[in-house]
Amino acid sequence: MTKIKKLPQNLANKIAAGEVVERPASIIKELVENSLDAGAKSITVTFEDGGKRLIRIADDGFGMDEEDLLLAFERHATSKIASVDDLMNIQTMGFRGEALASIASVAKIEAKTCLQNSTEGVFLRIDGGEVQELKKVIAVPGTTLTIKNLFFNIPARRKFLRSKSAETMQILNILKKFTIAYPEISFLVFDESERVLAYKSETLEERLQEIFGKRTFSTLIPIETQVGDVKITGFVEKPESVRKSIGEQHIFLNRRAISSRLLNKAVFSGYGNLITKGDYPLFALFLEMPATEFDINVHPAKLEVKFSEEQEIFNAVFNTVRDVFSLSFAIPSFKETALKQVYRPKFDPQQITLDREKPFVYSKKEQKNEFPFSVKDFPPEELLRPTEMIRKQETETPKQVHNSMSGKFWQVHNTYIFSQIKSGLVVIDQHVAHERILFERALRSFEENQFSSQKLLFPQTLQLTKEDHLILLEIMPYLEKIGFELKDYGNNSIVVEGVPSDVRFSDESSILVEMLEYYKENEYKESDVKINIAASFACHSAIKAGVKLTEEEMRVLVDELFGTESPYFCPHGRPIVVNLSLVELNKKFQRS
Amino acid sequence: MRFTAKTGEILKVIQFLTSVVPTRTTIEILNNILFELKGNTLRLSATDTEIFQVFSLEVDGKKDGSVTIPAKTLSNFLREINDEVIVFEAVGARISLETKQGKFQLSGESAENFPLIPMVEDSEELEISYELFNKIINKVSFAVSNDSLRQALRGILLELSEKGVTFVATDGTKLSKYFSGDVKFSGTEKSVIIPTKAFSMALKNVEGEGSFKLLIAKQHFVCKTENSELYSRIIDDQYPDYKRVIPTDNDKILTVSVSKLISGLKRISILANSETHQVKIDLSENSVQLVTENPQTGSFGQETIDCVYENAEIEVGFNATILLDTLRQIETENVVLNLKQPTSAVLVLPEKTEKSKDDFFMIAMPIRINS
Repeated sequence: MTKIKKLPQNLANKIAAGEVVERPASIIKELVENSLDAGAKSITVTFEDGGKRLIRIADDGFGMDEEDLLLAFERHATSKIASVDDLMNIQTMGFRGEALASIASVAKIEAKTCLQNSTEGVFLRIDGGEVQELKKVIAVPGTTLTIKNLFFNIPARRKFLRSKSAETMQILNILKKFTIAYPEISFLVFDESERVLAYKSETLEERLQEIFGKRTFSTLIPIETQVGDVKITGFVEKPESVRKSIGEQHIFLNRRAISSRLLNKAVFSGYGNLITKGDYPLFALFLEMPATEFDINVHPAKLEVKFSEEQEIFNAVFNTVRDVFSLSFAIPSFKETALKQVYRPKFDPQQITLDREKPFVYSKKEQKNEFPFSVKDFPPEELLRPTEMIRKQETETPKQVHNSMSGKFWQVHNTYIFSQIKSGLVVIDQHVAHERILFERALRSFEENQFSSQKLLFPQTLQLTKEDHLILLEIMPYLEKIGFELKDYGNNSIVVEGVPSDVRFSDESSILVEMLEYYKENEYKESDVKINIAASFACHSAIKAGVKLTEEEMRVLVDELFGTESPYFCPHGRPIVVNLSLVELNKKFQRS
Repeated sequence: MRFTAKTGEILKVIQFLTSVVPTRTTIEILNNILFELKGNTLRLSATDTEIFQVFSLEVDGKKDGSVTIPAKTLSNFLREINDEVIVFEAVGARISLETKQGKFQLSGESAENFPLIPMVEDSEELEISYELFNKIINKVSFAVSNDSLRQALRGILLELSEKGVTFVATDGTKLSKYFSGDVKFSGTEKSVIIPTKAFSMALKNVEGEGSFKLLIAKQHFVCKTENSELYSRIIDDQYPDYKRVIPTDNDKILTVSVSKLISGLKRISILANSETHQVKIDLSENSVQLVTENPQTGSFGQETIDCVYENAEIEVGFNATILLDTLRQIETENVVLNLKQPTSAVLVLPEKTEKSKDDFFMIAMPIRINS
């Protein structure tokens, strides 16, 4: 007797089901794909208990007749491909012909379907892979599939399903991909009887607004480019509004949601240093390419893709994203002060089709700023050294810049200090300049033990939480070295008796509270306690933007700034000095 | 509204009012001056919402009415006109001016939107001579804080009683207190905090008068003269308990020439750290030594001044700016400094003379210098 036996069909289906039908979300994915392939204009998804108890997908697609319906539940039965050639040129979502058979083997299914222009449909009930009932019914065109008691016959798998909320999250995530990929299709989603989604838009712009809200949408920049047969469109988020949590990175290949480390990396790299590790920009990227250029059939869940021209695709995405930002946002140079700016990628300009209706224009809010972006949102990375402009001229060291200053200073908007230098003029941000000075001074006083503390006539009592009090006691020796004179009065209170004598405080006690907050926030990022304390002190004690300075004060500030080790960056990496060269000015005024 | 007046007279009033017109405001109409004509009396008003200043002028009134006119444009214009008769006429917000030189038009704004004069009820009177008022305000206002978030420190505290009035100002590093029994107050004892600017405006209002009255109401401070009215908000805040921090047992007494100490400090502080202005004062028998050192720039200074000092040696650090601020208020030949410990509050007093019955002193807070 042979030991190896051919598995009965039913068992084979159950095993195969393990791959396709992992969890409720994967069933919904398969079924929505079927609906899309059936030409549905509107899809309604209902689920109960995270899909474990019930999943129902109703569409208004083509529908099936009785024969097709029965066949649909056979393994490798599909209307979508017929030959090996077709497999190389897949246009539909599903093609493997596995989904329904697999689902049918692990759940109780009811299907009701009706062809277009007909009122008579078919009803089918399958239980554990066996047809239990088949009858004609009155119905509306389209197909409704109801999946009940998932894995009722495989307790082990049922056990592996996660909590209701975890499964619900999975379902909504999968559905979000479809709603983005198919903005022209209406989606209605019910969790039990609660309507959780109702999208009715027609264009991608409208759909993204429906999903993410108007505000978030306004932070998205459209991109579009083409390389060879590959067309890339979509939206990427401005670097200043990127989020800290993963999950809104959407990539679609011929409208199929895919996960691609390659393309993720291409987008992230495109941002360059505008984002740091831990920043996750929202993006929705649509790739369109002939089906012969990639292989989606890597895994039954069809999430991963193999491109035949990987490097080209990577470069196309990378260049497009990079050009968006390098053109309009990244460098705080005065070149980009044009208020209206339509994005034009450098990359293969012939192929660009821009949405002329909605050229990318800075919002009103941004127009008010001198710079078309907010500098403070940039990461403390090396990238946006404004000094790059200074470096470009390759002639002047900070010392030379300082020496060539005319000695006259102008303050504009009580925020920036202007001064003429040999090669043009410099603009200095007074707050960050002072921040740099105080930062270095604080670090120095830790080492040299040189400080002075202005005694206060009215010592301020600070009432802290237990936790803050402990932290403050811990860092007190450092604060004292900067010039604070603090006394622990017990009961979580601290008395401020003196403050650093070179800093003017408008409120001695709140400065400590602010410093403490800053210190706590950065405790995990900045392992060096001294640097953290020095930075928090500098940040909160430095003169603010909006403070009027006398010319003498400006002179002292600038002299001291250029006496620091790094006069071009504040401790957070923000630029302090921006240089506007005569060359640039001349170019602007078309003076040759 | 229609009247004839002399340009010089109007210009003088407008220039006076301009110091009240805010330099930067989001409320457009505050840039304007309110003109109100009734009979032959023209009332001109300006406000920054904290201070409301009115000035009355006798003109040749033709038709009653009111309008507001941009202060800057008007004063610039009037300055260019020789002192002669000018005819003012306002129809709606359209203002026509006619002089010998020609006809001019500018547009103002309706008087309707101009803030109303504050309602003042239940006020009590304070009587003081101009000379004394001027002296006290000068001696006290230097200690007011310009940038404190504590509203109270941005004004001058008045403690009113039948015996007299105490004026106090402090910014937390220095304090000035002046009590005078020559200020007459007959109301109920109380304390109010008045913005410094109100006092400086009041001084302008009463310039040249002998004795005058100030009104203290619940929320307002009012200064009226024959042809001017000044209203100011009173700062509604808790003044710090300054009495608690006045040192009472400072037993080290230094008496030194004010002018010598001031010029010494000025010299030395040029070499001091440009941010901290820190200088050290070393006291030993009949000698004051001023020392400054700035290791960063390598500058150093030291000088010795004769004085009267008979107590134990002591070394106190100061921000030279703060100490100089207090010394400049001393009118006697010598200044007296009362000290106790290197970092405790220092009393700065004028030398006692027979004449003075007023009680005036200042406090300067030292700095702790660690080097």
